[in-house]
Amino acid sequence: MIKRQLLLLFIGLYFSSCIDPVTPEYKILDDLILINGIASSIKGASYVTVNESVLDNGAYKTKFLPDCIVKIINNDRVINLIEAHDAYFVPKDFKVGEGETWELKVQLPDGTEYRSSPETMQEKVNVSSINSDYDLELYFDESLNRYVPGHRILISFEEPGDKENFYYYEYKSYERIVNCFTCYNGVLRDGECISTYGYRWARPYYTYLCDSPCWRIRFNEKVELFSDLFANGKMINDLIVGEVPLYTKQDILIDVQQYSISEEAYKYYKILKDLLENNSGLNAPLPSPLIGNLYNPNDRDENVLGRFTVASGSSKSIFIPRTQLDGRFIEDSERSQWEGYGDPVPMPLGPDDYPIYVSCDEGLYRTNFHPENWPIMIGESENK
Amino acid sequence: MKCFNVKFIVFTFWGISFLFSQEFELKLIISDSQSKEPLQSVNVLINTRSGGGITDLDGIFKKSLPAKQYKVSLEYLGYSNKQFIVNLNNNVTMEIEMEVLEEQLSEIIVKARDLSQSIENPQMGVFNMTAQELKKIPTAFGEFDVLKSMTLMAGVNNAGDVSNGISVRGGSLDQNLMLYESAPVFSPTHLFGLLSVFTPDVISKVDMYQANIPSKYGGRISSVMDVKVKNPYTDKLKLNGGVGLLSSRLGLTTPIIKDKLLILAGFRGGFTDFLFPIFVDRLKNTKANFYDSTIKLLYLFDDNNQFSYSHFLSNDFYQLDLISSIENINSSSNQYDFATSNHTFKWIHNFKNDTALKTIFVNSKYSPKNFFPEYNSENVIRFKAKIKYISGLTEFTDTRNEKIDYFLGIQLKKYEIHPGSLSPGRGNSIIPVDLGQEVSLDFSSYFNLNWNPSDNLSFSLGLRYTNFNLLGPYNLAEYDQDGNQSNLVSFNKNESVIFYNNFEPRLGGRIQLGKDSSLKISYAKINQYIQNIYNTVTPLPTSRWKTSDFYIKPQESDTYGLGIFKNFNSLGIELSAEGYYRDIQNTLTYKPGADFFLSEFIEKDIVQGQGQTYGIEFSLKKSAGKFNGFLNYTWARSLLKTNEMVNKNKINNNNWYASEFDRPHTLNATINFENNLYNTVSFNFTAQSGRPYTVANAIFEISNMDVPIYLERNNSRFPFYHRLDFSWKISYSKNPNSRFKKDWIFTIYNLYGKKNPFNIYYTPRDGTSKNGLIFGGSPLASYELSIIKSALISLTYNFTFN
Repeated sequence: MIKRQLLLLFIGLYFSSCIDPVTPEYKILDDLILINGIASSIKGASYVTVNESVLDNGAYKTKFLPDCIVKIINNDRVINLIEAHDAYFVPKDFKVGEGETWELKVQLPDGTEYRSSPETMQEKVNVSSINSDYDLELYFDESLNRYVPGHRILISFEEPGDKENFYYYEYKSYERIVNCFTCYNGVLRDGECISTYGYRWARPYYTYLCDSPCWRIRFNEKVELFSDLFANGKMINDLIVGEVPLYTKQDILIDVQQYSISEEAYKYYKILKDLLENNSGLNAPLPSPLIGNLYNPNDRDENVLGRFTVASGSSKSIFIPRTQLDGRFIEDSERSQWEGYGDPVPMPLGPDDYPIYVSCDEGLYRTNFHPENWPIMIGESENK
Repeated sequence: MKCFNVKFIVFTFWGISFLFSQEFELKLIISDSQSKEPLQSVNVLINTRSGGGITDLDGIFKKSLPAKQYKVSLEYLGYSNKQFIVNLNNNVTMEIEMEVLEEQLSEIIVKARDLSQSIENPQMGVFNMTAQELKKIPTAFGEFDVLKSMTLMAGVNNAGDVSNGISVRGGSLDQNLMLYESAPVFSPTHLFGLLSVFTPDVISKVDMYQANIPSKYGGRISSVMDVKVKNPYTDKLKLNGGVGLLSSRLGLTTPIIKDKLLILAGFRGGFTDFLFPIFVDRLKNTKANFYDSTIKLLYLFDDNNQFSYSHFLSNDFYQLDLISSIENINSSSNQYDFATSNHTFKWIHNFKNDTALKTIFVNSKYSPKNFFPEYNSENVIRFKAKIKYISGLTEFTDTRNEKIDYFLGIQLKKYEIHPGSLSPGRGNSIIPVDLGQEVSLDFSSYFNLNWNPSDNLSFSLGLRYTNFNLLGPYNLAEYDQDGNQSNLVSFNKNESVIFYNNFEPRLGGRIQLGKDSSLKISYAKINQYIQNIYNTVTPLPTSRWKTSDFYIKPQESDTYGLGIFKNFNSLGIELSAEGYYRDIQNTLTYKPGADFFLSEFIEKDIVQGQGQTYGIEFSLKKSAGKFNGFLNYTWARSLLKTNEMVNKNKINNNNWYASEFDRPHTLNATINFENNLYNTVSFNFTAQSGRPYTVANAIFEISNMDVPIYLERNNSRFPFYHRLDFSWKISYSKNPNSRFKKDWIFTIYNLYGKKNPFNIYYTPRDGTSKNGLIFGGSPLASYELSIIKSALISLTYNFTFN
């Protein structure tokens, strides 16, 4: 018996947790610019970002570089991109046609010019079906130190066999939200959180209802790629193109885009994937510079970060009911705690003052436009 | 100096014979000089290659031999060795008393080598360890481990706590030739690098050459590690084994035909992975099983001919979340299975005049596999690769002259590398892929002369000639100026694709500076025609091996060495300082985004550059006494440089940069305390500069993800690595006559629980405030992966039954 206990002790010591958080270390180089551009076959989906890495309040961050002149060029056809929401966008009805060749030209405010090598739109490959699998142990989360439940998004499509194809995947998810604002250690008054410090019976946080239907938008957190190197011309079944962790148990709509890209673009996104996801294991590849097809025509020795990619996209969406799922969701701080009449807080609400509604604030991570393919519930009207 | 108290009593005679072929019996009765008790299991060696045996319970050894003069050696742990000459012209019985070596009370921790060996040998950068020495070194999990022990020697390092090999003098892992019974080992570790594959109980000794590598060896530019298996000289059954936490072992030595056919067999297996998830949830998807076995048959044909056959088998299977998945195969997990199967046949023929001919045939097969269970399917997709190696070597040795001895030989090696095939199994989701195999021949001839013109001067003059020939069938891609494939040239079977001829001088010299000190110089040139292709710090077992071809030129090294050696014989202390400089051409680096998995033309993703390593190694050894051990300090650098024209392929803008094995400062110390025959306590301390790694030069948001951006390579270092280990061996076999001997080895690896990082990496912040104080305002989180972060306590039980 003692021997067995000793054995268990020894084994327990061996395999104690071996991943610890540490302060991130950087050796920041000045004046780095990264240009990321996509010209898509989906209307209005083409955009270019021009960012610089800056030191802001002691932290290094990405800062959008405004006032650039950004163009995409197809022979004599020149499309000027318009600056908005920290990016440069094509006109809403613009899309790239199959077989067209485009290149990017960016001029910075200081006159520095960058160009891309020309890239040709690949043939679009349609997704034939989309599915999902729920796994109580989707992946192990280091910061939570536990397995996280969630869905794997699976697609099927017929892979064209006439040439090598390379794919890049993105998804956007929509979850209906009820609360549009949260005040931590405070209450909302005139658009600002007022501290509840000193109010012993105040709750740690209060949530505030949306004044209209509202959806939270999330994006893929991993880079998903596929090459037909071993599957040229095959029917691809249940290819995993995304993982959707169970942040909440709200129903969710997943909209998956499958982009056909060039081999060079695939290699670029493979580096991106290695930098983001494959850097933690025992066989982590040595980090590579994220350099694509951009260059400075006046200084060919300059390393220009980023890439201009021409991609033909097709999309498919799936609605996943989640309210009845087993598994511990991640964002447990999001439980509703509405402020009520007479709550012991500063400037307490009167009987006619509650509930407080907050607007949905349309943006990158939230929309009040009814997402396409979101089911219409009884009593709801499509706000579109 | 102690004198050996040998008493000879010679009895005569049962007959008189004048016939040279007549046999007589040699009988030795061996006892302890003080207690007068018979000594069991004393090793008796007769003329080295004429066989031998061990004494029985009564301390008696008997053997019938042809009438002749013999040199007899006696070895017994804890006792002084003895050597004497016997003229066997009649039946001879000798009573011999062996003396306890006062300074070596129990097993010798660092076996008392002949202290003058390092002085008299012109070989530099060489060291060896016996099995007994290896067993004393505290290692992780209490497992006796060749590679881990080697990293305590000056100039030897690895990639970290898990490393699929060793780095010698700053070289990469594949630049070391690892031989096990003369057969190459391509993947030398179990359990992702935690343990070496060499079957522990059968190892005799390990020789490591890292300077003027003898001309009999070639093919890897950094070092040669030659692991030798014991010869099963025995006249009775002997069993030994052990039970540890990670593995269990069993060994057997026995005669099959007395004095003719002898066998040694060892087996080790580790199948305890079912325990992982019980204790750590994180490891619930982890599987890790392994085994290895070694069998050696020795046939003593006659006094002048000895044949041996060895077989080594090693197999690993594992599945681990901490390894990135292979792209473009839609599977639920990636499983690794790899096996080594080596056969060695050796014939040693002694001529009558101190010359010998050694002939060795080797057949080696290394077969790594990946299994990919298809997602949502019962089907398994399989990847298989294979290296088949065949070698024939014959070598003539002449040691007749005290002033001059030499060896010369020829060797033919054939490599058949099958880079890989992918089988869809019963499914239809992938297309079968089968890359053509690469066949190459490597012919070598070599000569080495050891010349001692005077007592104060000696030279080792060696030369190796190599001819490497890549043969068809082979498809050679041709490329235009932009790097696009423009043509494909096919070669027929056995047609030469390209060949390389090289001469490799191996020179060493020794000047005696005084009675106990000497100066040594050395030079060696070596070419390497086979390399492991991987773009990580340590390779996976499935990482691809590639011979030189039209585009990938052989790696080439020139190593220069200078050393000074001083012995203090009265104190039993050896001191040395060795400096070296190695210039390397055609080192391998990789283009960004390179993926070699089943890639037909990998030269597109490979660039070749330069390397240089240099350093100075200080060593202090004390082999005898209650306190013994060693202290090594090394200052060394290992640098690389690319010479690329294309911007994105330039690493650190084509400037010299630190390689992954650059460790400017390394200190290793082992202290053993042997108070009595039954207890041995050892401490091992190791400290070294942290491994270079790369930190980000910027952070950019791309597609809503914060991405670390790198423009430099190895621009930072992990924190200083240090660790203290402890081991305590307790022997219970107080009765020397007991047939059953047992001991326990209690080990604490990483005594003070130092967390030494193996990897530091970035991840996206999870949006919560958790660890906010640690990560500060950084858009990225950062984590440190430590393989061993606490003290590892192990208890291993070992037994021997005679």
